[in-house]
This record gives sequence, C-alpha cells and structure tokens, in this order.
Amino acid sequence: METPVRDLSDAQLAVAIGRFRDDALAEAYRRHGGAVFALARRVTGDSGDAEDVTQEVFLRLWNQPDRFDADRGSMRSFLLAQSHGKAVDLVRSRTARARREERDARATASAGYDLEHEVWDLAVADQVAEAMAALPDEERSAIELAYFRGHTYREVAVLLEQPEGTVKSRIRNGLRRMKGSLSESGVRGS
Amino acid sequence: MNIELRHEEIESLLGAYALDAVSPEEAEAIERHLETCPRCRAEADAHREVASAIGNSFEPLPSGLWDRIAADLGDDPRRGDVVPPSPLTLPTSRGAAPAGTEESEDGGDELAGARRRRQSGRARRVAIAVASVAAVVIALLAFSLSNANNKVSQLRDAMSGSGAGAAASAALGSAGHQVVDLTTSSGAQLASFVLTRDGHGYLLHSSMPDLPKAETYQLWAMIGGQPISLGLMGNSPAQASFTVSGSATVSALAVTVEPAGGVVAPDRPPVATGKVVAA
Repeated sequence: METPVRDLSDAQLAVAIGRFRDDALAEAYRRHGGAVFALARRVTGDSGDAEDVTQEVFLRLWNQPDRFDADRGSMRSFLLAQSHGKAVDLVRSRTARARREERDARATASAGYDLEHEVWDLAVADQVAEAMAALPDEERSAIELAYFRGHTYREVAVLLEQPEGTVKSRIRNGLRRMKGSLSESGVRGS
Repeated sequence: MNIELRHEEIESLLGAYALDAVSPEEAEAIERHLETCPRCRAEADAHREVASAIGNSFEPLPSGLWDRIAADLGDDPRRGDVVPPSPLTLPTSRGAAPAGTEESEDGGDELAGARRRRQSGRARRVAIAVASVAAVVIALLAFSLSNANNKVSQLRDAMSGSGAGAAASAALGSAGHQVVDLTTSSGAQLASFVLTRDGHGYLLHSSMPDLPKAETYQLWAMIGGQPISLGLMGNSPAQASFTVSGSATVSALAVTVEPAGGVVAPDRPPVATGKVVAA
C-alpha cells in the first residue's frame, strides 16, 4: 500500500510526482500553491497573471520534477523562485510593451510608497520584516525594487541614481545580512 | 547571445541573480558558471533561500485554478492509479470552528462541490478543495482545539484519551519543547502555551478575562507572515490544544477577541502575542 501523500515529505512528494502520481502534485499544490500565487500576484499586481504563473509553475513541476533538488533548498523556496522568475518575465514584457507604446510619456512613477504598505505591513513574517527593517536603507530599497518591482539591477541603479556596481553589492550585502539576522532569530528559509 | 564573465564579476552578480534582477545573458553566463563552481552555487542557493523568505506569504487560491492545472496534466500511460486524497478534515468557511464541526455552511458546500467534481467525470483526477477561505486552513494546519465551553469530546483526538493537564505535562517533559508566553502590548502575561517539537500545543494557563457570550477568544499562528486560525477558545478559556502539521513554521502565536462564531481573518489587533523560536 502506498503511503498517503499527506504523510510524505516534500522531497518524497517530488519523487512521487516523478512517478506521475497526480495526487502528489495535488498535495504539493495544497501545501505551496497559496504562497506561489501570493508572490506572483504581488509582483505582477494582477490576479489573472498570478493564476497563469501558478499554473505554469505546477505544470513545470509535473513535467520536470528533477529540477527540484532537495539538497539545494526547500520545495517552497524552489517553487517561489520559479514563481518569481515567471512573474518578473511577465512584468518585464509588459513594461517593455508599455514603454514602446508610451515612449514619449512621462517617466514611470517612482516606486516605494505602496510597496512599503502592501508588502511590509501585511504580508511578511515578523522576523523577516524585522530583518528587512534593520537593513541599511540603501540595501533595503535596492532589494525591494529588484525583488518586488521586478527591476534589473541596472534599472535599480537608474532609479536610485547610483552606479551599477554599487547596486550589485548593496543587493548582495543586504541578502547576506538578512541571512545572518534570520539565522540568528531562528528563521529558516521558507 | 553568449557572454563570458570573470569569476569576480559572477560573484558580484549573485545577489541580483537570486532576485531575477540580471539580464537573460548574464543569467545564462551565471548558470554556466554555477555548474562548475560549488562555492558560487552555495552562495546563490543561500541568496535564493533568503529571497524566498522575503517573498513567502499566503493568499487563498482562486477556485477553479487546480482544475485548470489538472486538465493540463495529460493522460500519461506511465502514471499509476491515482489514490483519491484522504477526506479533508478542516475546511470550514470560518477557518476557526471547533474540531468535529467541519463542513459547516459554505465551507462544507465547497467541499461537497469538490467531491462531486471528483466523482463526476474526473474519477482519476485528484480534486482538492480550493475554496478560498478553506484553503487558508487546509494548506497548513490541522487543529484541534477545545475549551471549557465546548464539549470535552473534542479534546479526545488531540489528547489520546488523557486529560488536558496530563497532555500538557507530558509536553513539558518532552525533548525540545518550548513555552510561549502570550503578553499584551503593555507586557502583561495573558496566557502560556507549551509547544512540542512535533507541532502539538497545549494551553498551560490563562488569565484571560471572561468575555460576554457574544464574543470569543480566537487563537492564531503566524505562518509565513500570515495569521492562520488555530481555532476558537471560547469566552472563558481553560483548556486548549492544537496541532500544527506539515512544513509550517510558526513564528508567533496571537489571540484576538472576535464575535462568537470567529472570523476568517483577524481585523482587530491581537490582545496578546508571543513569539515562537524556530526549532
């Protein structure tokens, strides 16, 4: 008798998905779908887009379960990275289109305000929010603009009027600092 | 277009890469490099974990989305027979009803709907409930919670027949347990829970004042930045237990005062909160 999917670890679920057990995929969706959808919606700002992203992410898990390597991180983290990548692709293609269409229109609105409210007040775990808040402002804003707004580091450099090299190291240092303080407060990667 | 980047250039881009903030050409070059450089791969993985912690939250899934996904899975002959999912035990519309009363009102309807879908024409396909509110609870938690105002029988599952006090005592004696004090914003202690390493929680003591009949205390777990209902504690809490299952990492417990039926998501500030230290 097969183990019920409810009792499988994420790594075991991935193996079961590789054996074409769609109940295992359903279980992965049950465990992680809400987070995948939430991140996609936050980045794209659109529920329809977020549904498309979520669908793609789980179909990809179904078709290529080997891409998930339990030794390199949690399934949640893996799926969120997929969700983020696809969401950013959507945002960028949309932005590129909008840019072509509005070449002469005024510059895009600056980022920041609603981000703080939407993201930091409501959706981020306490410790993560605390760790983010503890970052130097310039590191935090670089990470926010890149991660939640889908900007490349080059775009962030333009937005923040900083050299590209500075932005690269701020992002990298900020993430390292976050890792340090999250480990200290006992938060694991999701 | 293929580009080549030096090791130092790759290193400097690893943070941006983890945030999907590099160009496709750079991403390609970095990925080629990661295949042969364990040190950079480890750093990129660590950045990804942090990124996913930042991006980890939860939203109820739109109904019908799973059906769309399932419809695209195709009928691969290699697939084994699908084992129907075990019955969902939690989904109530309120996400907070006491154990044993699942399938109340619309939450139950959603489930029934899911079962009907499963039985009709999609026998091999797994149907899972994607009811928006139910999903919040289903996704992460199985809970069992009781209190002096509810039936003692509701405790049975969580307590394996023993008294709540005995279960709490056993929890206090278990390896790796922790005691979480819930305090008000002014620092007064309102309640304490003991949490075992395997996800069971028991109320140790409470000094929560009695509420009017029309109100109840509701217990929440902060998971991935979202409050997930652990259940109702009634208006005069004396006993409570819950179980957090799956891969959920609880960062805090919180208690709110709500209308007697409980609420799906708290819209009032908690009367007491306590941080949980990750195992």
